[in-house]
Amino acid sequence: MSQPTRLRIAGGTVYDPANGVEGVVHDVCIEGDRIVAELPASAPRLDARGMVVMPGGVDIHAHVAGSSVNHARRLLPEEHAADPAPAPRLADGPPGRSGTGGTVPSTFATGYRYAGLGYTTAMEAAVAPLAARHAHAELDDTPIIDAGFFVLLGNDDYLLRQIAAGETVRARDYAAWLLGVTRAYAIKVVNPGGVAVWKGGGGGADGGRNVRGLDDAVGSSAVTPRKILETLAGAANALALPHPVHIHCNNLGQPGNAATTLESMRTLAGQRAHFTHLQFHSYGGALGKAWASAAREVIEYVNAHAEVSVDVGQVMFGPATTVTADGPVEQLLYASSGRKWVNIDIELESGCGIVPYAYRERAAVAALQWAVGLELFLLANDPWRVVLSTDHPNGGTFLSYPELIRLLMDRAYRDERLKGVNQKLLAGNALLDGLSREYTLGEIAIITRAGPARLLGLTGKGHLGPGADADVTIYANDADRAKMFATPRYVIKAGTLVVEDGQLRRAPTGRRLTVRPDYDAAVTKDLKRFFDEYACVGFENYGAEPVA
Amino acid sequence: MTDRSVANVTCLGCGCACDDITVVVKQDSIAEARNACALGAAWFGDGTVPAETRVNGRPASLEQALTEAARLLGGAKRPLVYLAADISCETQREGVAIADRLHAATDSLAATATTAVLAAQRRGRAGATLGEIRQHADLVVFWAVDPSTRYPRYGSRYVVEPRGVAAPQGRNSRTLIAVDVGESRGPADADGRVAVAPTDEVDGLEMMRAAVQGRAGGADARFRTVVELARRMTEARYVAIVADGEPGLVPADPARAEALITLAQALNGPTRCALSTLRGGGNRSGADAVLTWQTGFPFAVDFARGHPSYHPQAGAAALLGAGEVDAALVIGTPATLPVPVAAGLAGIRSVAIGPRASAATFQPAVAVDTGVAGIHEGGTAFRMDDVPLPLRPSLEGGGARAALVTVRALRDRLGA
Amino acid sequence: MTRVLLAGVSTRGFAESAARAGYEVVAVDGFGDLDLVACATEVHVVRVGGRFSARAAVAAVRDVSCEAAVYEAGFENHPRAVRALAAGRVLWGNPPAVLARARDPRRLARVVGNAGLPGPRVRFTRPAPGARSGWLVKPLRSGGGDGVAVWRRGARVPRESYLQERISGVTGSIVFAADGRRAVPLGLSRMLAGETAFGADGFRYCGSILGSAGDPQFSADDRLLDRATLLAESVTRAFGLVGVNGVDFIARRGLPYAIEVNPRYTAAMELVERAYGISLFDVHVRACRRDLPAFDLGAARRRTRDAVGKAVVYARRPTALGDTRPWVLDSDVRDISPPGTRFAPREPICTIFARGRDAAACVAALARRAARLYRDVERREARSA
Repeated sequence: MSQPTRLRIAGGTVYDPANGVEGVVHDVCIEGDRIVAELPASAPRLDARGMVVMPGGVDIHAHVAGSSVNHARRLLPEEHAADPAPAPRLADGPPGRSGTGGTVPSTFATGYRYAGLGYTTAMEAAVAPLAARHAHAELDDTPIIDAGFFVLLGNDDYLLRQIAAGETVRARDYAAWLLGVTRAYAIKVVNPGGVAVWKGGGGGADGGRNVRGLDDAVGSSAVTPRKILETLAGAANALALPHPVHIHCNNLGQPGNAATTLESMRTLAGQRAHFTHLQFHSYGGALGKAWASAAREVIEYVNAHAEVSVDVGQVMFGPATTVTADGPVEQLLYASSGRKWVNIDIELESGCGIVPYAYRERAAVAALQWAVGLELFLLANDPWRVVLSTDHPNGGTFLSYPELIRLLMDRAYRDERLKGVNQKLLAGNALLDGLSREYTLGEIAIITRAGPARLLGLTGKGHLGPGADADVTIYANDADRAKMFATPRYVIKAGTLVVEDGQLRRAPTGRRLTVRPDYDAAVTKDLKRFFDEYACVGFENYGAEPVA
Repeated sequence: MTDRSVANVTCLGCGCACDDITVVVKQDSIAEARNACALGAAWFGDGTVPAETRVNGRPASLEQALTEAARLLGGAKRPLVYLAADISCETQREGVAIADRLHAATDSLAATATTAVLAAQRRGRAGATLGEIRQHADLVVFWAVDPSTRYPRYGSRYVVEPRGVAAPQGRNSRTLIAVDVGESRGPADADGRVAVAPTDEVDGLEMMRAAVQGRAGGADARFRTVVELARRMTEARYVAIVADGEPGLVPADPARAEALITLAQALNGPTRCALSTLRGGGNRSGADAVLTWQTGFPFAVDFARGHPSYHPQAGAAALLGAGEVDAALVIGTPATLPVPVAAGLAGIRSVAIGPRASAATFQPAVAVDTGVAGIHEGGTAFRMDDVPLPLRPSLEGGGARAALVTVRALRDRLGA
Repeated sequence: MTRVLLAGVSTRGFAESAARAGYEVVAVDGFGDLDLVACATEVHVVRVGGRFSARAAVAAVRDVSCEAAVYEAGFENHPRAVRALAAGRVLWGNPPAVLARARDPRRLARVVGNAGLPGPRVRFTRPAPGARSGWLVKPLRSGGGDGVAVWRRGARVPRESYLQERISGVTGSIVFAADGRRAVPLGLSRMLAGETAFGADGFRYCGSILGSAGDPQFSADDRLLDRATLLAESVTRAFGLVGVNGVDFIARRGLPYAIEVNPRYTAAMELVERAYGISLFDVHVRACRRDLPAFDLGAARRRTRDAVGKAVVYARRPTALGDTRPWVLDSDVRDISPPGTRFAPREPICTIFARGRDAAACVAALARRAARLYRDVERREARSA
């Protein structure tokens, strides 16, 4: 089929939860790059009878582009060698590009694979401001998907100084300036204060290498993780950003960290905040003692507080690569596990840690993590606020989303998988209590499209109402949900048919999603002074705006 | 054109990629590059570059050159695309696109740091951006290198002199130790020196790592001083180790790179440590980054099978030496090609697009002179610590052709 | 800052000295090397038929305004060009009339004789057959050993050339500052010529070695310094030399047999600047203003322990350079051509410097450095297909 500017997707079973449509057979009309209410009968048709039609997938949190991701790519030549990605044969436009895969695919392969999975929008989850230009260059080479990124704040020296001085307004102006100059989409906080402490040096067993509690001093007692969270959440909301502050809590991966997570949530009670890869932050037990799941407690809080949104960060068995700005966590992971470890301290801002990993069913902790994620999904009341993610590639790659969907929709399959995992740490786990919930297709449409689009404030995405972006995924209605979601039959992106009969046929360029909030220009004077004093890049060269 | 000053210009003379240069232009040529070191001043020069286009040695139009280049490369059985110095990341990306289309072998100047890159792929890294070392390091150990010889402002702008957040007195907040490995010596003005025989170097690093990890080692007299240095390093608040990733006059022990990485990683147990690997200029770190994100591999990539495969031991030099290549595209300054690559290009038909292409020693069949990225055209470049920087041209719009535009035109011709 | 125009075959050495002394330099020469571009505000490169032309150089900078002009090698045989160079500018150097006299080998022989110093005989016609001395044929407008050859018995003496008696000994030079009447010696060096270690043949100049007092490179070193100083004073007075100048000689048992006057900056002077830390350009300007430095060469030679030397490395075969930009960081390499420059055999590639505990060690160090340079650059050029 060629490239119509109009297309009627006819007779499909539509799941458009944002518009209250759940499994209704009706036509979806596209004109140009938008959904329209109607088209003349003569418009070209795509016969979608018997198929499931959903908005294009929206990945709220993945590590797919930028400096840390590239360090991870470079670290894994063996993975790339084992997963070649020849160039797709495209029907029109410039030729496709070849690449490689593994847990951290090259950029072209990333775009093609997302599209092949029916995803049309993705958010790169963590970019250090200093490397924003790099992230944009990689996204320029990531075809098809519309993309943006979350810029890292919360361990940056300038912000911490403002917090120490009580300069909340200036901190907000700084955040606004930073979002604009880096052309970012939202504010990301990773282990607030902890990375700053890790970089500050000071040695000793645990003294001064991370934070443990929300009231730990970061440099000075005037700066604590709690204050950082409050300042940044306040800034994001005062600036009315489309997506609230996106938080990777302190104590990721530590037994007993659910307490930290809940306390972080309570700190921000009443204001919008998004807590990411919640699974890694929902453990009971205690350091040095046994691990347990605290998923129930955590999700109950989420259920009861409508201002909180989360993505799960599900662990999927198989290879993964942990890529995070949470440097100290990775040092611990290296010390206890693998041969390879990357740590890069990023001047005045943040950090980067990478450890290749694998989750095995027979490993008790991995099995617990898997179970905790599923508990969070299955005990969640409001699918609009609990988004599907694996924190790609930390918990597993995005190619495992279909498998995860099957686990959520197919209780029998889930129970069978449960039997095969190491259950040593699963005593009291809700899964073993016979959680019977099965996600419906409508709910899947929420947690993979409508919900994340709404939480990201992308009003044109995640739904199929008139005026929405014409990003549409059409699946064969297969009882094997993993197979169904792994191979969409058709994918339309901005009105262009990119996947046809399961084959990638076109690779148009996606858009960059950015915000540019207003700020008081006086902050730049203060920033210039700061740069003059400490920075190793010029103030005028900082960020990602074109200079010449 | 009027006389003018352009501030915040990025220099690509070495991997420091200093972006605080002010270029003073008088009568369309560069009169001065303020803040630039001698190497930077030489890199900027007066901005004069030849502007010839030649096919088989004779002057030709761009049109003719592109046609012949496309014919030559398109008809090749085993082409090579080589990314040399002085081109932007945008241009490098076009080059890789061409290689992908031609199913060519691809390599770049980043391969000069092969040993360091391979060691990092085996082990990972314990690193930091240059500014982070400036903020926090209270002990800097120069391992067999004096940065001032090839990276002149490394000390003065980044790691030694300037004040940092935790180094309020700049140089006086830091202790510098020079480890002299045979003839490869650290800076002359270090606060302390340790001498290591070249044959003892790798064993010495292993002994240091064992000491850091508390694994008792014998007190072999040969290693006493380095073990003492290791002890001192564990007591620092933040220790930086500086080593050269580029080959020096004296060949380094190939096992050194990995031993340095593992030592730095181990030091992150008792304290904090970053290994800073010095890399050369011309935006070769950009070529490394671009190849990695577009293919998954940092250099020596081969598209022959229709997808990228990695052959670190069979890069451009080896392929050319083995007579495997029948046509080549060199993008960037041909004079920066490593000797084995330049010599290996001698007998084969090639296309050179870049600064001074018309003076290329390997006598390309097609040569198109362009300007220099960072002087005559803009774009993005990477510092040696992988920080991306914008290029701010001071002589844009003059007579020099833009490399990006030219390579793109070639890419279009090749249907890439 | 005073703007000064420097003109000559290769201006890099004096240009660096001028820039360090605080002058704004406009240079015109035959090379336009990277290190010249680094220290000069403006550089013009002039080659006519592959060679430097003084006349073309002057024309190239006719409209360049500078307060003063200084010429170097390439101009001493072209007084008219010097006059044109000085038009509208203050000339810091020997005026054309002085040049003509100083470059005349017969006058030099007379001056030397009148001072009681020995010197090689010169003649413009063939000597009688049966004469025992050897002779060299030298072009009148020579420089750097170009065109100098052993005279074949019975051969005609070409026009614009002369014969100079061949003296066996050690070739050297004395460089000095002059104010028209007095001379202050600045350095005494040995000259290297025709050494294969540096790709030179025949009498081609390929380096200088500045030794410390008593260095065995010259026998009767003290006496040589004394006699050479007398030589410098004699030619200064006789010709009215001003600024920095040099006289080449063959040294034999402490006596300098003067062979040529170089009434301008010479290559050996760079060693004086390196070894003794004095600014040759500053000395030159002051001397042109009749203000001589209070410099005691004897004391400086006794104070300095090491020998300092330079060598010009000539291409031995077709040679192409790689990326020469990093060479500027090595203070022992100068006259650096742009990346990719190609050289035919016998063209100068660059200049190298070295130190040694004595002159012999210094020469050895230079030879080692040259060998390394050849290794690095000779592999690059294409093997002929």
